[in-house]
Amino acid sequence: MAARQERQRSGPLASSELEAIFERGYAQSSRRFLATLWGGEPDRADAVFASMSEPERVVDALERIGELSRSDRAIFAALSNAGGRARAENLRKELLLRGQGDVSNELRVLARHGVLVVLPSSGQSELDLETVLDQQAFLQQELALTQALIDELDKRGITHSDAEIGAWEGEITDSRVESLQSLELNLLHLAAGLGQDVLRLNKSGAPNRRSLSRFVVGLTRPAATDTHDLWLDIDTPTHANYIGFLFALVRELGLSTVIEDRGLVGQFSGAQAYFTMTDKRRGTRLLQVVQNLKGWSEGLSPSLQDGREQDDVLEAQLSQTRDNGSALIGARGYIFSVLRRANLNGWTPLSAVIELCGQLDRDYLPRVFANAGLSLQVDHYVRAFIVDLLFWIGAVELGKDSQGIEMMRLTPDGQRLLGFKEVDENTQQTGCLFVQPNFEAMVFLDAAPMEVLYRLYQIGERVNLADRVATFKLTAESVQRGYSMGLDAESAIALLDEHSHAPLADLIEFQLRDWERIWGRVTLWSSGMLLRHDDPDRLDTILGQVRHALRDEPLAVERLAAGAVFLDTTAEEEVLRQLERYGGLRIDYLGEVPPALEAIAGMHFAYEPMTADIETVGILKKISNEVRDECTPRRRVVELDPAKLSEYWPEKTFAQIIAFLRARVRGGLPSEQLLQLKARLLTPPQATLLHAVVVVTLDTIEDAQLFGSTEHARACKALQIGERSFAIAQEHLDSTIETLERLGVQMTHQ
Amino acid sequence: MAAREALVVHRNISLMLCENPAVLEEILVELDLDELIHQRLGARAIVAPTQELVRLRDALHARGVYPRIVGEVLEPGDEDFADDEDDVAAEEE
Repeated sequence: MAARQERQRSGPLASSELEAIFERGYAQSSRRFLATLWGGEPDRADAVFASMSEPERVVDALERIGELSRSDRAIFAALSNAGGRARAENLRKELLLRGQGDVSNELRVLARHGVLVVLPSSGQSELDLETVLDQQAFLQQELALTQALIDELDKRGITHSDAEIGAWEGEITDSRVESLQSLELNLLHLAAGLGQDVLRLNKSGAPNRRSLSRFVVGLTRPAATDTHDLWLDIDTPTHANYIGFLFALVRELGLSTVIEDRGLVGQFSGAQAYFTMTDKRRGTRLLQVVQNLKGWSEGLSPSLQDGREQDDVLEAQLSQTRDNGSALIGARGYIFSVLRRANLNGWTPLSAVIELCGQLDRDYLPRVFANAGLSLQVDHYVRAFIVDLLFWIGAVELGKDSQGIEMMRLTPDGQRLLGFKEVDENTQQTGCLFVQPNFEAMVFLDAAPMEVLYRLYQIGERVNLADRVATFKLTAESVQRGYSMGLDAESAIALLDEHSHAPLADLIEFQLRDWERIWGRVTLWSSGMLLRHDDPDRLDTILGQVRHALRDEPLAVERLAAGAVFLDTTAEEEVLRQLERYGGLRIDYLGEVPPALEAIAGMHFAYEPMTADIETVGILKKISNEVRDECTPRRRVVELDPAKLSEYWPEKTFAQIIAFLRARVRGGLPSEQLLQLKARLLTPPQATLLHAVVVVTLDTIEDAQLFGSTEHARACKALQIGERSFAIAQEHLDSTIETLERLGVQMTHQ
Repeated sequence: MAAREALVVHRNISLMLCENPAVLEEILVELDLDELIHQRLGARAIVAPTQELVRLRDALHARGVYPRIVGEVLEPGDEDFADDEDDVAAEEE
């Protein structure tokens, strides 16, 4: 019994299998259903199967369906091609891809006629056919044909025919394909450019047009085939869209980063990590980033095709700060998942793939668009996904058949990216370079590993690209730049030698070493600490203690002068802790800079060279002259020079110098000196001095206000002092007394 | 004048160090450092606040000197480029 119950996994329906199904899988109603259709007793599977195997009954069964539709024939053909059984969902998917549309209903109809036998899944019992056929879950059931039915279909020429299931046959014309390597070359070119210059951004986050035009030079358009039409043009919307895609990839692959929302710069470490990965890891990383792309949206691509809102769309696509692609991450994942599950062998009509993506889960994409507030049509979106995004990463080839129908197929790169094919990591390419004595290195792109191209971009300038050959010029500048990025002469020579067709010329080796010698003459430390002490011996003692305390930490020490030493360490806080016991002054150029100037008088200020910060001293040199007679080695006295001040701060000169001095004079800028500076640099303050005055003081503020507004007060120009008093010139004393008497004011004379 | 400090510690400082004094002299002849806040220290070195590093590096590059760089160069955003819309406005004026 156990053997009879064991499910058959392939081939047409067998008698023993039907017996097992009747015994455990089917409900009584289902057994009766099949027995009624084919003849036999519901509790006798062998008899029912015998009826199903009779050629006449098979013909009758097909007659009951009526004339077979194109979809019916396609279903029978696909099922017999699959060996006589297949899951309903797989059949539906397969036929969607073959341009047959959604055949779910046709499958149900054929099952209701008993010609497709619905098989219970393992573990399923008491299957009620009537119920299952009404449910969406029906598509998860396996369907099978009997051998007798296959034989009849065979006689009618339906089975094993690709034409019946709509499989494409014929010739493709006008095919276009972009290679993954071309995309990566563009990414590398862009990353190399961003390593040398900053892409300026507008406030909106979109690149400044002038700046962008410099970076676009040398980028090739997708699927470019000849040198006349090779380059991208930022004025062509579809090209600009592709440029936006490249920048988003460069940023999200970690090859560049946005600084302060106003510029995009290269990330050396990210570029090195990516371009030196194996092909497989790079492919995986690229696909991951493409699927999660935030800075570019294929959802906006369709509107560039029909000319709607192009400026706004392009600005959004090129923006380095907007996340307009985030909402589509789920949609991309869905389409990749559909493509991975679809049987995409060879050329397939593009419309069929679009329909498959739309139909497989009808609600998913509309739901994603609705949640994101996007008014996108599913077919437009999927089309843009394929003809832009997938095409640009070299995953699909596009073409047309003889009737002009758009077709697509996965490229070898696409099969690899989607996981259908493994990368052959053992194909070691050698001899991809030809280094000429004039310092030009020609590299054959089809044979060049990505790391070789990356290294060439580090030490050379790409001066030409044509016919899959790139030419790099090695110059003192480019090679020294490469040395700055971590290469050295020996590794550069080894790289060129290993990949060169012929041994490297002695001249090249000599020059690469010589450039390294020259380059090594200057070292730039990006950030560190400077310790200064006017007693060199004391500085030595302090340094010895710091070395001892940091003996387990990386510490580079450069003696610059007897009383000056530069330290480079990652343990800066520990150094500061060690130095606490010595007191002294701390100057932090990214933090607090203590005031360093002493106010003397007028335009004169003083500072100590040992303790003043570099910025203050540097600016003083530009705006003042030293008063040599008053200077000593430990104290420098300077006098501000109005001409130099105007030159250094051409606008708002007085405000600028006051701001400079207020932040840097110990104890603040004295008022006396501020007045002196104002007198010298701006307009002299004005003052009126009154000699021989009479002061009239009223008892109340109200009385004072009334007196101040009298004709007499105005006539003698009474000057109010405080709230209740007025100063009046001596010559008006008598008339003032008369006026006050006339007004009835009681006076007291002092 | 405040009491003079014995030890002075400058933090976040960049250093350009030449192989020998002659190299520094040679570079100073070629370089225009007027715009840069910097200070010469000893016979081989120039120090500058870290904010000046990119300008110092660019000045060296402009003279064909590509120094060995130790540590990370933090690029500041600079304001050389106006926005496109500002450019358009300027052209209209």
